[in-house]
Amino acid sequence: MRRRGLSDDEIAMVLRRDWAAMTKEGGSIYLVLKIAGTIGQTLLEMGAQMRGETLEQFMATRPGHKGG
Amino acid sequence: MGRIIGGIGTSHAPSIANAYDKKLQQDPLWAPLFEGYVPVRRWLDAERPDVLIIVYNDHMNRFFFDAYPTFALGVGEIHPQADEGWGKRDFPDLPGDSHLGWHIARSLVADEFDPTICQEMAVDHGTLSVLPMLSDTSWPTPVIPIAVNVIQHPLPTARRLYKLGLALERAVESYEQDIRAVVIGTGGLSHQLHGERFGLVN
Repeated sequence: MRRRGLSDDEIAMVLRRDWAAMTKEGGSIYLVLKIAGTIGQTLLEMGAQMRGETLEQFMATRPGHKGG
Repeated sequence: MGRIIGGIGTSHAPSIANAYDKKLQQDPLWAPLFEGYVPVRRWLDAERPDVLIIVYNDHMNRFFFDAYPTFALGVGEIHPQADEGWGKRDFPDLPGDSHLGWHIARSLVADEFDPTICQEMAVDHGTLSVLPMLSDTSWPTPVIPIAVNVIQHPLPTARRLYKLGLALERAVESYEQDIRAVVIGTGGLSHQLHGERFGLVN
């Protein structure tokens, strides 16, 4: 990552898997998703984390799901 | 001359593709969505169009920010499936229609639209997430893909896209063959993906 010119802060965000911080820095979700893909995370898991929820909590808010 | 016989608008959320591949068509949660495609598929099977013109957006699977086209047109005989990072889905590559594709390219440019003309155009879920509900997955009908930039500013205006639609109609109608085309527009009407508003249905 350093070789690609990322700053210490940016590298730390990637290592923390901090999707919210990456998008706040201007990262497009479609590109941040590529990072998540390398560790097998899905868009829904990323979304839950950005909302500060567990995947189960997030899914419960979806139309048609229990609690939604 | 060619004719546009209909248009279809649909979401292209990747979760639809996931549900399809996991065979959740009968799952109570997913059934209402899949049932929505049944009459559309029935209409397509009855009408048997000669080509599907699919207007969608790419998600960094074919194009990248080093050179990002506002509009891109696939004129190849084959449109391979892009691997989005989780492996390809179990489908053959999509058939294109090079002859028609080049006609559309010439017609659009004469009409003052200047798409990036792609002889190689790998397509992602913007095209493929919903196509299995609209077609047999042996892909009997050729596809002309048209990618629109919706992810990196400056974006084309709604007025520009309306005019693109009119230009596409002129392109199809000026084709020398009597083809019957269906235009499919994919995307999301409610599409909040960034930050704490992720998944907001607005």
